[in-house]
Amino acid sequence: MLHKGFDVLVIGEGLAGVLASAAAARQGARVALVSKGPGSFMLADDCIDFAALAPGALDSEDGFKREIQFFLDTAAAAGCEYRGGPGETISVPTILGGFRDVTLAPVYFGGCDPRQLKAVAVVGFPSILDFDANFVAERLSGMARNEASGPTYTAHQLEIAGLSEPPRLEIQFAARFDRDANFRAAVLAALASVAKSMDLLMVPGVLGLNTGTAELRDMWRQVGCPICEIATLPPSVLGIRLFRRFRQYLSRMGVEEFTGFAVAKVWFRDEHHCAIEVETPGRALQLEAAALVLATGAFSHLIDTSTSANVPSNVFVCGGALNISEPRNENAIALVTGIRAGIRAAKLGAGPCGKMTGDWTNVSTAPTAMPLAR
Amino acid sequence: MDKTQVVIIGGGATGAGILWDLTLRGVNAVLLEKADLANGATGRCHGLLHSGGRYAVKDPEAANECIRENTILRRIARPCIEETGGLFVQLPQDDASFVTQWVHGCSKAGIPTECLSREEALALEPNLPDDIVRAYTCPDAHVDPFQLVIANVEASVARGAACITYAEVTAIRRDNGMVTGVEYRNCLTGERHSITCELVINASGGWAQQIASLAGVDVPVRCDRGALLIMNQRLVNRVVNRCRKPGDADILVPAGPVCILGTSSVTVPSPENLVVPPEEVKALLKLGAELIPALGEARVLRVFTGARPLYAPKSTSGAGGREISRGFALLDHEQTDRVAGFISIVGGKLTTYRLMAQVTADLVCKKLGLKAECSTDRVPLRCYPDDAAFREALTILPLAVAEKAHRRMGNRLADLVAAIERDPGLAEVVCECELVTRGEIEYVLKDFPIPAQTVADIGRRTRMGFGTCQGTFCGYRAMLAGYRHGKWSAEQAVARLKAYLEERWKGQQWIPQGKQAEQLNLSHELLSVAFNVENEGAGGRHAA
Amino acid sequence: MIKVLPDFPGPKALGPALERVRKEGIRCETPWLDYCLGCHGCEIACPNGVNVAGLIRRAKLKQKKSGRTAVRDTLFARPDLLGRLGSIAPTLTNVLLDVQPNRWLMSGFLKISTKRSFPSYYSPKVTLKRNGASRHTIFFPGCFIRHNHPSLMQTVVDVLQLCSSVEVPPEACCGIPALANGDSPQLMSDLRRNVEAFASKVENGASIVTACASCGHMLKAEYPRLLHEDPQVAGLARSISEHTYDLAEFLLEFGPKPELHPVQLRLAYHAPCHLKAQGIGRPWLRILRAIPGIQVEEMAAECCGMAGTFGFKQEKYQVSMDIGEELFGAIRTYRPDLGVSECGTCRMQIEHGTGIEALHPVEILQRALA
Repeated sequence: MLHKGFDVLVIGEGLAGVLASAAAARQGARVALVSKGPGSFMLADDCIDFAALAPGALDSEDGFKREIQFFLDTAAAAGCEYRGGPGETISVPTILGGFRDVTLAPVYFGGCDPRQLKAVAVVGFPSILDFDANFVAERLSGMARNEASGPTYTAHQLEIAGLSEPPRLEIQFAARFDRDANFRAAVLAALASVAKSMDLLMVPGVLGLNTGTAELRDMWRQVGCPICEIATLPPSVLGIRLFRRFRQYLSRMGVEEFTGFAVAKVWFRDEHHCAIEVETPGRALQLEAAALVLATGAFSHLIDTSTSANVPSNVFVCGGALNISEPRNENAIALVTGIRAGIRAAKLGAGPCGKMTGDWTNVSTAPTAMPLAR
Repeated sequence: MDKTQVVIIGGGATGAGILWDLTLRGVNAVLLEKADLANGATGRCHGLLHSGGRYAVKDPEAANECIRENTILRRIARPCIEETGGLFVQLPQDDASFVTQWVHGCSKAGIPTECLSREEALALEPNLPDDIVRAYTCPDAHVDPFQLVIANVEASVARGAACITYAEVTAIRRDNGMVTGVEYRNCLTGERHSITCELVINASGGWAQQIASLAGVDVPVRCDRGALLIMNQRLVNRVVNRCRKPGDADILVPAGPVCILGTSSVTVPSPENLVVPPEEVKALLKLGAELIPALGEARVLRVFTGARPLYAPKSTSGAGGREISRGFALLDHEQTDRVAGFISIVGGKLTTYRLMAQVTADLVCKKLGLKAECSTDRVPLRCYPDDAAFREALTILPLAVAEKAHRRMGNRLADLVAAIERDPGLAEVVCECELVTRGEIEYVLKDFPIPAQTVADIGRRTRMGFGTCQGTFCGYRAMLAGYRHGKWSAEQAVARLKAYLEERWKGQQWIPQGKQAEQLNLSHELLSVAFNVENEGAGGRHAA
Repeated sequence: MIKVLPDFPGPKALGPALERVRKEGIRCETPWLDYCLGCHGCEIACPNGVNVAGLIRRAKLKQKKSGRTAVRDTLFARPDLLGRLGSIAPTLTNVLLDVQPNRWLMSGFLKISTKRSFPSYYSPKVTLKRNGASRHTIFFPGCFIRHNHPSLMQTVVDVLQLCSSVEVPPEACCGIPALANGDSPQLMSDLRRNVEAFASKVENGASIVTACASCGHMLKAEYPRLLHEDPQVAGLARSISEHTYDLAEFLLEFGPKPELHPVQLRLAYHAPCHLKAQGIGRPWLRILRAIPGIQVEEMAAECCGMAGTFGFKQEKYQVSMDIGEELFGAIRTYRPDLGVSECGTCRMQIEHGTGIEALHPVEILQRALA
């Protein structure tokens, strides 16, 4: 039995699938986003590096300007702004006390390159053992010495006053930060005390799971200087933040999510008609649409995409499923190909069904009438 | 220490066993190992404590040796051994007459076996193929080679012996055809040292020829590489052997939460820089699936390989790897090469290490003019269990974590408990796969008799990083633990982590297909890309 | 859970990690299994399709209980029994449940949190109309709706009768409280009774409709899994699972296409964990959005924290509220007229945590149909 009402089906909820859904929805398509799980996007640091794209791997007339702009707009609309742009370089600090150069980075990483500043405080919370402020500060200082330039890095360990049980996990810290106003105030006050005469604070990524751009800027104001949150081991709080925000954004755009179960089968009838079967408990869920976007990543093999001849015209493969990426350029490839796939899929037109409202078979409400057979 | 009686080169089972034997006999000895303990064949084998069944047909003497040593080790090295028992399984496609010979050979060699019907065998091991003919039990077992070597060294150090890891011997000093000492270099710091001694024992396994040439003698060793696969789950509870002429992929050994499938046999020029081609892995899996069908679908966690050091004197230079006797050779170079004070011990297998050590120590004592008998067959290597410490541990650790720690640490558990009581944060589990606590990691960095010097060393002592994530998460934590204890500076820490990860990744790259590929990709996404571990020091893009 | 309780090992540790180690012969009993809410979030999240929830469930059922909590949990495993007892003289029951000395006794002896109020009990009564519809539906109300909210039962029946003939079976808990409280015998008894009652009807083409996401998930996902080893009932369990529909799902597929009158309401929707675990999207959101005048948004929060009987337990009350705080905050920020959710205990938790009334979405639909 078929659910109706979609123009585009997107399989996969990693960066490629999320952007494909956003792009298709922006074109006015009704989108169903089906996925087994969140993908690896939210596990690492959510930065995107275009320099790692081999020249010629993907063609573009404008250096991917349009796709990057779409991404930046979407992220801003979702409430988790990104910095950077085509041809730019942002240096993002890592938990190992080094830097990683990328093209686009979420605003959580602070407003500037730390190496241009004078005084940077690396702040740790003693109960969070997976981030060591002394370690990071020592490495950064070593680097500054070698380069004969850069700020003075000082390490600080902040005990939050009045806590009976200090949080030991980043995700626990972040959840409490959201939930408990006293805790939040105490943390910000403690950070403010270190921030005096500092140009930047580097902290582990723990300042809330629901923190978006607006909340962040507010925090910086309260604390008195910008804060750079450093991505920690997964489950990365920064990744969760982004993922949630993107999901909420998609929900506001009317994208319906079917998460948790794998797609078992894919069917095609013609260039405007395809369907998938999802392995939901009980009955398999069948979804039908005009176009399909495959954003399933490099390790699922739903359709044989090895030769383009095998891929029907209303299927658009993007991201890891294209098998052209490696860890360093995955996100860039996902960004570009996901957006393109979403736009193309939406252009294929309306799905084989009516509007979303009043989608039921026509059955008379009189008690003796027979319903139409399905 | 710059003066001792005996210097032993090589920290594998043989070297460690010799250290213990000599120590018990009152001889002063120092063990030098250029990497971490069990870096050679000892740490790269199946971990099989042979019952001897494997040699029952071809080499009854070896079989008899095995069963005797097996029995002794199960007594003195109990904490290092999982008494799984073993099965020799007759598959319908294998030669039935071999089985008859096998049963006869076992009986002659003194290996206790019992015949099980097909139904009985399947009831014990449901993962056996449905169509097996029958099976025979035998006293095979799993031995943790790292724990075994550590136990020998630990016990020796407790009685005054010395062991230095990351010490590479660079020269063997001689004076008029007599060895007078060695020079060595600390691989981590570069410092050079020397030790004066009366005797040098070459127990360096695959490196025996290299060490021997430092003394100006020849010890021909053929390196024979075998590949082993670690499967993600404990598919069998007993060692399962295929009852046929020994060949590839006919043993599956349960080892803690995983099991190990092996092995193959390929001659290689050196014990270092070993590589396993993916085709070999595929072939092993295919063959293994004949013995345990579930292997066809199971997830390979890691591929590792080591070189068996086979003594290959000129007369057998043409024979292949399995043909050269797995027996050992004790070479008194005073007799053979007129270099006094130098002994080599080559070949052998893990199961007979104690015997090899015994004959070596006998020769050493003879040369030193000492009348001391071997007692390694009687003196236990470690005390376990420690019920009082375990009960205490239960109050501060979850049951499963306490059990694992107890098994690994034996009577050292009391130290861990004390540490956690002083600092409850140490109870946090750092490696979920093997249930290793932060406290245990710190213990092996600081208080351990042979402390860990690198992240991989921590792994060998605690099994951290041996599970599904292959160190992706716990490696970082262990690195930080070392940093916090002043073991390494921040710069050195990242170098350590990088080296550790490269080694962990290597073993996964050789897996041709399957779930582990996804895990490896994640590991790279996290550590290579997000944490940029490979470009530590440089702050920049990876050179394309 | 791990966000509020740092020592909670998490589903990976409690399920697959312990299972690996259990095979080695390590003993793995742990009190943390009780803190698994059975939300199946782990199952949804696992990219490799490992049945994490199943592993935890198995471990939970094997682990023995003792003490006062064991008595309480045994009671909690039998809501149908409690319901039937409670409905004998519902007014009296409701008074007794609320009275302070009794609450104090329940807290002391059974460790039931005094901060919770019990849902009221009613005598279940429902009026069925005969219609000639060719489709036949068994409406499975679940213990909560049957004993504590029979007017909702009537609402559902009325709506269903627009497109199908309806029967309401006389009894039977779907089994999830027994499962959650680790009561294996009670669980099996619940399962078998339902399989016997429904199997032949379902074979004849009837559909089973649930208006509680937990009952729905239980029937769809767990019945085949829990009964797969018994060859006699395995096939029947699968059949039941294949014919089970959530109410919204059923209406979207087979329902009529009536005119929907405007309803001016601002609604905060919460998707129950067991709905998410069914993987059918948000069918109620789709229906509500089709009603003119309705403003509805799904709250950005994961679990409400109630998890059926979990939140009633004294030692778990605070955890339950901490988990739910995210949802409560989102609702407060959104400022709705009402909350809506298709799970009875989620509704209770929303009311308890925000003070805002929460309805089943079908009650909104009914207004639009009137």
